[in-house]
Amino acid sequence: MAKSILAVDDSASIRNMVSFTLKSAGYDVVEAVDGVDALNKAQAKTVNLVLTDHNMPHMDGLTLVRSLRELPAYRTAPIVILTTESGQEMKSRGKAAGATGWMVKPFDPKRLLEVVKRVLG
Amino acid sequence: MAHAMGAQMRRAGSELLRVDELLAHAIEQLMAAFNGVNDELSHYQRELAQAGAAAPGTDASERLRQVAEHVAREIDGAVMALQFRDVVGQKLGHVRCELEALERLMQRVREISAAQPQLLPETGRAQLASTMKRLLQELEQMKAASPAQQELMHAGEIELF
Repeated sequence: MAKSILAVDDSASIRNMVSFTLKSAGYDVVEAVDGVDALNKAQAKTVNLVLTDHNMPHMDGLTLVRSLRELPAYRTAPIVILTTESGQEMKSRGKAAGATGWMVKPFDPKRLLEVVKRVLG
Repeated sequence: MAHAMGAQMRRAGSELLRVDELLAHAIEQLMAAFNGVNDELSHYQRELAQAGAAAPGTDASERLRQVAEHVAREIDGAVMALQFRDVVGQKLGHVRCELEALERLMQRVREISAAQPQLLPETGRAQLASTMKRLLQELEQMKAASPAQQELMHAGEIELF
């Protein structure tokens, strides 16, 4: 059975590209447009990995990570931030929030798949 | 004059928004085309695998495999390059915020000018100077808050904690 990934980004084009890359590799992909949408979808159906942007309306990526970590199903699940932000301070905040990793956009599809494979074990 | 500058800034902001929308639409169409190519490629690769299983190691099946790999690599490269829209979109959004702040500054100048149509008394000047200083500080803060710092479309770094 294919592993499921929740791809969260307020940019439709980035969601398209992430979904395209992951689906091409055989993963099931659920898309969400912001942190609130992601939290609802993550609770409705438990996914194996969450791949989220940080700068989004309504709820940002780091708040989403903290909210997910409070849910038993996502206490240890991999959550990777995929963002344009590359500052060390932001990365440290991501780590403190409970993120599994930090990827800076633009992403290379091949490297994204390597990271996904690695964090999914 | 302040009124004309405010209107010009609103128009510039609208134009930037339009550019962002056009870019988004173009990328959407390109991604739809990629999805079609990818479906074809998957179908092609399945046929290739079957042909390869039937006649492994033949020149034709090896050539077909190389072509499929090449197409997949080209699509990966295009997917990475197309992400320029996200970076450009954030930068355009940032410029729009600055234009809106400038428009607010112009509005404040108009209000103060309307209240003091003749020569501004010293207190009015001080108030205007203070308002402009505060709004310019807001503009500086907006500059610092711009998240996208990418200058080239090279793949970003990855860090696993």
